[in-house]
This record gives sequence, structure tokens and C-alpha cells, in this order.
Amino acid sequence: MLRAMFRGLIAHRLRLAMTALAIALGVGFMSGSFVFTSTLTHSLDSLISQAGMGTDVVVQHSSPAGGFGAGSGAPQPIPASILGRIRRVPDVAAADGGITGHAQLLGRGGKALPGQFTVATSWPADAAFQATYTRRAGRPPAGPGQVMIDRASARAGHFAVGDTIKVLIGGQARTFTISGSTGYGSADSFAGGSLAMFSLSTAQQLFGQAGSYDSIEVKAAAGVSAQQLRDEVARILPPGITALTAVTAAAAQTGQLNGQLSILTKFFLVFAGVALFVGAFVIWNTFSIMIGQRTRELALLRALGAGRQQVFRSVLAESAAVGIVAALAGVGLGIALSKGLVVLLSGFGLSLPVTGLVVPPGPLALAAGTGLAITLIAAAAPAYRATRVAPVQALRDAVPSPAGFSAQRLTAGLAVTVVGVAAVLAGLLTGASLVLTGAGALLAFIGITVLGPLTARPLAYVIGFPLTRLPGRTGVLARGNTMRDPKRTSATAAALMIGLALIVAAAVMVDSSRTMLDRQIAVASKTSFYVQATSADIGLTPHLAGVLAAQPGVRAVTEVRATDATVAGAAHKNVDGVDPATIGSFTDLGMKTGTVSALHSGALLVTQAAAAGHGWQLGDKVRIQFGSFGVSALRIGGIFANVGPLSDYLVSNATFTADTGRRLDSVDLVRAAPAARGPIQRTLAGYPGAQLMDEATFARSRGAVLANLLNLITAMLVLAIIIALLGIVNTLALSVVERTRELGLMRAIGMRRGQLAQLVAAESVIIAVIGAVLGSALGLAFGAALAEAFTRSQQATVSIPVTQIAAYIVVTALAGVLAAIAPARRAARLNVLEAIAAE
Amino acid sequence: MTTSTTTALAARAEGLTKTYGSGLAAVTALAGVSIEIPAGTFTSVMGPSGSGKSTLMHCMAGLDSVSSGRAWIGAEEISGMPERRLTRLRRDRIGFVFQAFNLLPVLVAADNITLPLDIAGHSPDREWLDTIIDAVGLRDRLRHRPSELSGGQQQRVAIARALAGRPQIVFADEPTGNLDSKASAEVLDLLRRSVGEFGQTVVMVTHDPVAASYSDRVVFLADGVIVDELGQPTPQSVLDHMKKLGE
Repeated sequence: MLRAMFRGLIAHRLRLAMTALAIALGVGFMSGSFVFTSTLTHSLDSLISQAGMGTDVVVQHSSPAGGFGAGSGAPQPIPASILGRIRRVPDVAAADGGITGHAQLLGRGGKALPGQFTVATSWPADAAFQATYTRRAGRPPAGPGQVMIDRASARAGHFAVGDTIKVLIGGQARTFTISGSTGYGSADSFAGGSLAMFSLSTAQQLFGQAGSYDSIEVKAAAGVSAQQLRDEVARILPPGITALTAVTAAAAQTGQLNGQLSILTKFFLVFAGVALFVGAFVIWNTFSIMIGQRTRELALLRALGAGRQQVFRSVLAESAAVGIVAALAGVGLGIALSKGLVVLLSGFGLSLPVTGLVVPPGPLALAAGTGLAITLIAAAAPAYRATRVAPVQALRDAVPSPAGFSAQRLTAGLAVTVVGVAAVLAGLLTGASLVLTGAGALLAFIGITVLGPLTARPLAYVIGFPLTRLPGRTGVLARGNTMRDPKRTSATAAALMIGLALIVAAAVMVDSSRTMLDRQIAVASKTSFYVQATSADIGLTPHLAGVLAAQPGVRAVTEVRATDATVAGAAHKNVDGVDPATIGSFTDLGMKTGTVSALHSGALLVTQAAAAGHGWQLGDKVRIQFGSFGVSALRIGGIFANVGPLSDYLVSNATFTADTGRRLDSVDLVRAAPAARGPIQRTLAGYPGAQLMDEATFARSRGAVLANLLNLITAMLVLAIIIALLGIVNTLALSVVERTRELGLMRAIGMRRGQLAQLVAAESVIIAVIGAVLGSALGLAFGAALAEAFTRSQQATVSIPVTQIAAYIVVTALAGVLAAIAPARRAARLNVLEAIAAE
Repeated sequence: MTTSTTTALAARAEGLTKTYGSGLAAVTALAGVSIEIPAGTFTSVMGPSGSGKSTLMHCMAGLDSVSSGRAWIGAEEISGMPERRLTRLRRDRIGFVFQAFNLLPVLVAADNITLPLDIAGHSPDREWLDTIIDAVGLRDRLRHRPSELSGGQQQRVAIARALAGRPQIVFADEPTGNLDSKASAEVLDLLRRSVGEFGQTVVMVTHDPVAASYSDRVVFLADGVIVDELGQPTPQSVLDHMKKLGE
């Protein structure tokens, strides 16, 4: 029995290789995500621990716990006087204050030097804290015109000590002399980021922190524990400033980063799951066809005395062999793929500090195990069907006849689909439960696949219609072939359907959100120009607003600051800082209750939509967590209707800076005569980090994040599409084998090789387009439901990107041609006589 | 054997040999066969299994290459012809009827009949098609798929297809091999009439003396060479000949 199985494996090695590849890609994606996130975690951990080298205690700003009205006070950096007091604590060996910010190094051509992120810090004056900065060349930065940069950036920009370099700070380009270069720990760069170091007073001046620090590092005297030192230092600190041991601070930072990473991991795993799900279809279909073709062989085995159990085991063993090979190949692929993910993410604007490669054995074993399990599950049904082969079929001229479409199938398919769709809707309506929505989508896919054979025939008939005009009847034959076995056609198309449905759903959702953003801005805005920071990290210096206001033709300018925050437990919400006195003349907020001036007293304004979503009233307190700066509870001082160019949550710029420590603007809104464009443009020549936009381009730039997200999602789902295409290759190749005699006959009566290849390609296109059409229809339905659910709270918008979807279908059809290449060549190369004589 | 310059030849072979494999394992299927097929005649090729009768047909029809010797369809030599031209020649000038699996299951009978014309992109001669369809007696079955037709009906569709393009010659390989005697009679009668009424040239490979008796002459093959020939055969005379050859 085993020998028979292995003979079978070898005989079908090409098909099985395709099947294995389908699963290997899914496993590869999954293990790639694991390797990627492990590597990233490791990189960040080592980055954070290196940052703490030589430091025992860190003193930093924190919003007072539960600090309502935090915004009413002045910004709270750490006053320089605190440093002196810390130094006087008996067990302190050394203490030094530092400034951190962002600065982009510019190359000689004015373009940003490569770097996954940009860091600017002050040079620690005390030698006790200089250990992290290794292999230095030149000297540390001393005067106001000097900068020390990381070795990697110096190499990339061909900069030597003594050269001048332009550095973008707050969107403005400033010129410095390079005093030296430095490594960071064992690396040449700051974990892939660029580093600009200034003297303390220069950094304080550049980042608007004269006379204060962002943090103070403290080193303990010999024999004093970090914990003991922390307690001693904490005792002398005023409220709003805390002391943490370096280990605690690192752990907090690591914990926060890991929290963000786990979102990324989940994101990847969702797509890995989709890939494996699609792969399962390919396996199921391939094994089904192969079992069908081997009916006689199996019947012979049964006739010779093989038991049902033996047949079942042998088919399952075959799939296990495929699954094991696929899983192992997948893990290997994943390790290679993890590098690709970094590149992919940076291509979509998400830069991450990655060094080295960490291969986590546990998660990889999980990925491999999942791949194997899915292979076995997908092959179980065909294996069971194999046991139903009666021994007598060995004696019959067994032409595998496609089974009819039963009423049970219809009922089951409808039931599963209805339950799935209901789950999707329930998931979306009850506060968007992703698990319920996802499970529902999965069920709906399975249900529609079960119903597939019902739709495959009419769809093939319609879709194949244009192809019937092909000369030489190849189109008619192709259409006939796809209609011959609707089960097979629909199973093959189903894999493609899933990928496309998800892509289309994402496209509809993103298009709807963008349309909503555009409308929101158009409805409220009274702004003529938008001057926006090209990089959120670098931001715009507050000084720019004044410069803009002085330009001829400019009537007024207001500063807007923006940050990502966790609002009432929901992560990644935008909170904007605005100038309460002027914002109303740039955008019509449409206040429903309360006043804009409530912002002056540290209050929060929320949109009507957000208020309705959370059931908030005027005067309620909302907990907002800004980055690592602890939690503020802000009182709602007003509810407004129009988001316009802002976001759902507004605070005053004073509150914003106090609670975030951020002193940079994100965008300056400008009211001006059209003629002001020229002067503004000329002014911005000195601010390469700022870009001038009108309403349309600004709206588009806000949608750009969504567009990037869509591109990323599409790129991820392309993998599922590739797997589905492998399924088409497999089905066609198996069909070609199955129809050898038919193809031989056609060749005998005069069909040219090219025509035969055309026939196979036409079949492939029909199957691909069936998948694309079903997928698009399903995707439109899902996407519309998603868009409705997610935009409902603000302004229900469903917008369908028609040309984009049409393009997807066309691309899928072309991909169908691609999938046909190998099987078509195989068909065309058939030897006529052997084909006619084939069993 | 008379070489007539007045009677046109539909096909001709001269010193055909065909060897499979090489060295000690070489198997000779044809060991020098020369034959002429006059236009408008019905020739049967008979012989025991392995006598080379199918190989002869394949080589003469351009389905298989020859090891040596030459073959013609009409005046055109097909030995050594490149694959592309051979395909076109098969399409335009030769009709085929195989033992089984003659029809494409996805096409209805009418479309199967016109398939070679469709492949070529030729528009069928309606009048001629009508004539053929009436001759094979399948007018009421034209919209049926092969799976809805009996074996005999399927073979008649195959013959109609072979005749549809007015080929120079029709090769039939055991066309009644899978049929009962009644259906066989219908198929053979049809082939006979295609020669008598339409002037078609037919070469049929068979091992059935009754089938052979429908033809004008029978060529007997053994061990790759022509061993005998019989004109105006009857089942009995063919059987007698076979017995004689077997002795």
C-alpha cells in the first residue's frame, strides 16, 4: 500500500509540487511574519537597552495621573534647576540632562539621506553617559553650528569631518558643520535610523527648550542599587516629573512597542490565514481531481483486497507527505520573506528599525504545523471519497462523470451562506466585532463555494461568450470544457474569488473613506492654502506660521498640531491641537453645544459623531493617553458637527503641548488671496520639510494614508491571488492529462498546436474571470457593508471605485492567461498518436 | 498490381518501413510496404494483431513518421513534411474515423461534424452538409451531445465529420470495433455509399471479415509486409483467405 502511494506521489510529482507550493506560500507568509516581528522586537529591545547603557535612573516628564485641567498649566518640561538638585542627592555619581527630537539629514542634492527614522539628541556632556556612542571620528559637537552624525549616514552621504551638511528641523533646512561621526553600540547607525547630535545648548535652542530638559539620566554611586537611587531621587522631584529605574523605563518602552508590534503581527497573520485558506482550496481541488482520475487504480486496489481504511490512510499519507514538504519549504521561504516584509513596509511608508535576523523556533513550528494540519483537513474529504470507490469500478470503463447538483447541496450551501452573511452583518452592526465578521466572511465564502457549481455553468456561458468569436472554435470548446464539470470549475474559481473579494472589499472601504474625507473638508473649510509637514516626525517649526503671516496677500495663519492617541481605550485616534481664538475663521466647526473658547481652559471638543458613538454629554470627562506621557482626563467643553480638515478630538495648542511634550506644528492653515501663492512658495524654499497645498491636494494627502493602506492590503492579498492561480495551473494541467485522447483527436483532425494552446488559455481565462466576477460581487457587498458600518458614525458614505474594480477583473483575466502557459504548452506538445492511444 | 496513369491516385506509399526503438530492442512494424489507393475506391487493410496495419494507416495519414520510404496524399509527398504543414494537410485533405472516442463531448453533433472546417476557419458548404447529414440519417439528432447518442450514432457522426470537408481520402481505423452487428452494418453501409454515391476514397483497417466484405479490395498484412490482396471480397472469401494465410 505504501509503495503504491509513493509511486503515486512520483507519478504526480509536478501537480503535487504545485499543491505544495500553494501551502508553502501560506506557511511562508505566516512564518515570515513571525520571524519579522521577532527580529523587530529583538532590534527594539537591544536598541532600548543600549540607550540605557551607563544609566541607572531616568527622570522624565509625566502628566499628573488623572490630571484634569493639565492643559491649564504651562508646558512642563524639566527645569534645568532640577538637575542641580539631583546632582546634590548623596548617592548620585553623575547626572546629565538631555534633549531629544527629530532631525532629517539632507544629502548634497538636498534629498533626505536614507534612514528608517530620524533621531536628534543632545550630546551628553558627562563622560559617564557617552559609552553608547562608539568608534567616534572627529570631535563631539561643541558650538551652535556643529553637528555629529552617525557613521552610516556619513558613509551614505559621502560626508567627512569638517564638511557642511543641511539638516531639516521643524521643516526648516539649517546648515551645520560636521564635527564628527559616531557609531551606536555595535552598529554604525541608530538601529537603522539616522542620528544628529548637537551640543546641549544648541539642541535646547533648536527644539525650543531653552533652560529645560526632556529627560535627565542618573548614574548611581558604587554600591547603590538603581531602585534605591530612584527612591532617593523621586523624593526631591516636583509633581509632574517622575523617576524610573532604567530597567523599568526600558520595559515600559518595550511593552508599548510590543503592543504596537502585536497589532502588526495580527495584521500579517490575518493575511497568512487568508493565504492558507485559499491554499486549502487548491489542495482540496487537486486531490479531488486526482482521486477522480485514479478511480480505476483505487478500484483495482480495492478489488485486490485493500480495505477502505487502507485506501483512506494511503490518500491521507500522500497528502501528509505533501504537507510536510510544503510546511518545511514554507518555513524556509518565510525566513527569506521576512526581509521582504521590511522592504514592503518601508515601500508603503512604514519604516522600522530592523537589524539582524531572529528565528523563533516555537512560532515557526506553529506555522509549519498549521500548514500540515490544513493540508490534511483539505485532503480529508477527497480521501473519504476515495474510500467510496467500489471494486467493480475497476472493471468498468470508468469515465469520471461529474456528479449532479443535489438538493441537499443547495440547501446546505444556502444555509451556510445565510448564516455567514448574517454573522458578517451582526459583527459590523454590533460595534464591529472583527472575530464575528471574519468568521462570517469565512462561512459565506464556504457557502458560496458550495453553491458554486450552480453558478459556474451560467457564468461560464456568459463570460465565455466573447471567446466564442475566436476563430477555429477554440472558444466554444473552452467554454464547453469549463461547463462540463461545474464543480471543478467553481472550486478552482472559488480560490480566486476569495482573494479578489477581499481586495475589492478593501478598495470599496478605502474609496468610501476617502470620499467622506473629501466631503468633510469641502463642507467646512474656509482655508485658502494648507502648508503641511512632509514628515509627521519632523513637523513644522511654530516659527513658520509667523513667517507665512508676514507674506504679502496673506490675511491670517493658524497652527494645527496633530498626534496619535488612545482615546477612551480606543487606540490610534487622531487628536489635534488648535488655536481656540482663530480656528473658527478657518473651518466652520458647526458647534452644537458648548463653545470653542472652552478650549482655553483645557477642555476637549469632540465631534457629534464621536459623542454619539460613546454616549458623551457636555461636561463628561474623557481619558486620553498621549504616547508614553501618561493619561489625561479632559472635560468635554463642546460638541461640533463638522470635522473639516481636523479630527474628531480637538484641544488647544497649549493643552496639546503640555500633554504631549510636542512643540511642532503639523499643518499651518492659511487664509490668503490667490496671488499669495507665489510669495508663500518662495518662502517655503527654505523649508524643504513643508509643502504647499490647495484644498484638493490637501484632501488627497489626507487620503494618502488610506491609499497606502489599500496598497499594502492589496500587496498582501496578491499572495492569495497567486496561490489561487497556482490552483488554476493545477486544475488545467490535470484536465489536460485527463483529456489526452480528446486533445489527440483534435490534433489528428487538424487542430494546430497554437490553437490547442489557445483553447487551454481560453479555459483558464474563463475560470479566472468567473472567480473575478464572483469575487468582485462578493467584495462589493462586503465592502459596502464595511464602509457603511465604519462611516456611519460620521457621515455614511459608500463609494464604489468602478474603474479600479474593472481593472482588477482585467488583470485577473490576464493572470488567467499566465496560469495557462504551462498546461497549454503541455497540451500543445502532446504526441498525436500516443494521445489517441492513451487510456 | 497495375500502375495506371489514367486513374488518379488518392494516396500512395513506396517502400515504407517503420522501426520502433533501436539496436537489439528494435521492433519492425513495417518492413517495406508499397501500396496505391486509387481515387474513388474502398480499400480494407487486414491482418493479425501486430501485423502493422494500424502503423501503415498512421504513416499514410501523416499521423506518424516513417523510418524510410515515401508516402503521398494525392500528388503531394507527406514523408518528411514538417509538422505544421502535415497538420494543415490532415485538416483539409484527410478525414478520420477512429474506433472510439471520435467526438468532442462538449460539442453537439452538428458542431462535431463541422469541427475540422471550423478549426480551419472555412465556411461549410451548406448543401453538401445537408447531403451528408441526410446520408448518415441523423437530422433529428444534430443538437444532441455525444453522450446522448448511441455508439452507432456516434460513429455515423464521426463519418459525417470525416466527409464534411470533402477530403481526398478517409482513413477509418476499426470503425466498427466497438459496435454491435446492426450498428456495424449501418456504419459500413454508410462508408460503402460514400464511395459509391459521392466518389469518396476510403481506407479502412479492420480485423472483421464481414466489415472487409463491404470494400472493393482487401489488402492482407503480416509481419509488416503485404502478403496478399483480394478483389471483390465476400465474408466467406475473406475468411478463406485468412485461413490460408494462417496455415
